[in-house]
Amino acid sequence: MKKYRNLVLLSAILLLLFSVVCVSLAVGKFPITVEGLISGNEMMGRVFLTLRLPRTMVAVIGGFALGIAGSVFQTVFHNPLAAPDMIGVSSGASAGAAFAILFASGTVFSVGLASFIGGLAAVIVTLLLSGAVKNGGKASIVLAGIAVHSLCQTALMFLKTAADPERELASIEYWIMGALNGVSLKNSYVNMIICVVAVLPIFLLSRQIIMLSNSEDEAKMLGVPVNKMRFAVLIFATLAVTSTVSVTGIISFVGLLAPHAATLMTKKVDSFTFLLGGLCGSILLTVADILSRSIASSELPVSIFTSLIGAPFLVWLIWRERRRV
Amino acid sequence: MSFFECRNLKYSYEKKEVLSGVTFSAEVGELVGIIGANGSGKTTLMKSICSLLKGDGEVVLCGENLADKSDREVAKIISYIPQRSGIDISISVLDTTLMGFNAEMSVLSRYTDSQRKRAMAALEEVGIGHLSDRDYQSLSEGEKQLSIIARSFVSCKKMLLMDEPESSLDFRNRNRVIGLIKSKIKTMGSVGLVCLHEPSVALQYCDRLVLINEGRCIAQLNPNENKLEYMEEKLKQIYGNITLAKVNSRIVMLPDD
Repeated sequence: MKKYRNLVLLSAILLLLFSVVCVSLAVGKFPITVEGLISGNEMMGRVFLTLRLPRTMVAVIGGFALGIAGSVFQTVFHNPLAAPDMIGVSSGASAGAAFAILFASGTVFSVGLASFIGGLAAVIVTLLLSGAVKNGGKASIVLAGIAVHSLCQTALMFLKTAADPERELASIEYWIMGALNGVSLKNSYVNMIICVVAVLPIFLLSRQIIMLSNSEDEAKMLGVPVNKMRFAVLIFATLAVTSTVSVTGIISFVGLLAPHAATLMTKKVDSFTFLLGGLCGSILLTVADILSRSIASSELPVSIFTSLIGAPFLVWLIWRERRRV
Repeated sequence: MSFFECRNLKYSYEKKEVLSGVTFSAEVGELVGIIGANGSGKTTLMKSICSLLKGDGEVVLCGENLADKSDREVAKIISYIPQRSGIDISISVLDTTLMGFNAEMSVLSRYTDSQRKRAMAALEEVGIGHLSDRDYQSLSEGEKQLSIIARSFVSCKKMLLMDEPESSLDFRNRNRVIGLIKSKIKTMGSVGLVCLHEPSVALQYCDRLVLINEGRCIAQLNPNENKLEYMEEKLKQIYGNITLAKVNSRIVMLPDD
């Protein structure tokens, strides 16, 4: 019965994702139709292959990565509101992107690479700092994360102050708000491969990640190598998030929202919930991207829409937690 | 040599010594109660025995020194039941119980049907088989504790370490569960160490009692062999003015007026 219920749920979510993907492929400044593609319309084919398809692919894969990474962070830190920025991912990526905009010509490639390095470096510094604390558990990771986040924010403020307000500052702000309009096949395929490679071990280790929801002593006595496992899954989750945001810019709320949406559907956390959380992330980011390019005459930052959905959901979540207490 | 030996165990937090050379032993099939006042070092002793805290001294189980074993190897032979589990996500009761198999599985493997059946049997044994599909978070504290006890029953370990496993249980479940743990230890051929909040329960169910006061083992009692007066005198060193009495062949501890 349970397997049957999961199958129905998975089919419904996949169907919804398929519909959203179809809309995403069709909608935009240059509308694409099936007839046009079949009849061999050269312009339509080129837009489809070089822009629309990669953009949709990034929304689907990136949303999936943000969703599943959110599940990892919330489980590992025993915090339903945990997000990648707790250990400095987004702030590190933002500082990296700002650096590239100012000092490395600001091309899509340089910004993507610098933000990827920035996000990853911030997390590695966080984990190394927490590892230096004797008997330091997850609390020391959170504290180290706050320190690294503050340092990256300071660096970002410094870079913003040094930026030309007309061009560079606007570019930094726009990048931080997140958008998928700069996505092309050329600048995204490597990131998406990294993303898929990082997400796979998270699935394989999902049973161990759930074991980390025990207290540290309990998990150790259940045979979990707590520190090594936590380090490994946080690195995989960070790789997935960083490879996404280095193409899209900062995307708020998807990592927070998607795991909760999945848990609301399944009522419990297991490897299937991780999969569902990833798919919810894909749907959310793809819908937000469709809205960002179709609501106004110019493209709007995608985080506006993820936040519009996310903020009320967050308030409801806090209200629900308070009622539970 | 005994099945289990704890030799001169010491542990300090910062510079304060909280365990000062605790030594005792236990034989296979025995349930040993660790009793003492709050803050006497019971939990530190339990954690030192299972290597969660690394102090001085030796812990030998089945002739093997636990200090020579990795954390995972220790987890394969010792089950630990905390006062309260830290699980804070929505997870089914059956999945919680299945976690007990983790130490004997490879990191990437999945639970088998046979393990699921054994986990169900363990839940039935502690009396919550009907809750197997429920969300762990929706259970009462007592039911949560029963599912954690079931988790420690799923695989045969050489030692069961329990830190006040009865603290959330009602009167009926407390007596039933401690009795069940006692018979389980005998059938599994293991040894049980249990910190108990209630000395009367310890006197009723444990084969031996280790009395801890300010980090020292002040006495070892055998309720089946020692005289009531002797045990009363030793227990007074921890609990102050108390009286031991026999009611229906059971020993109970009562506070003096």
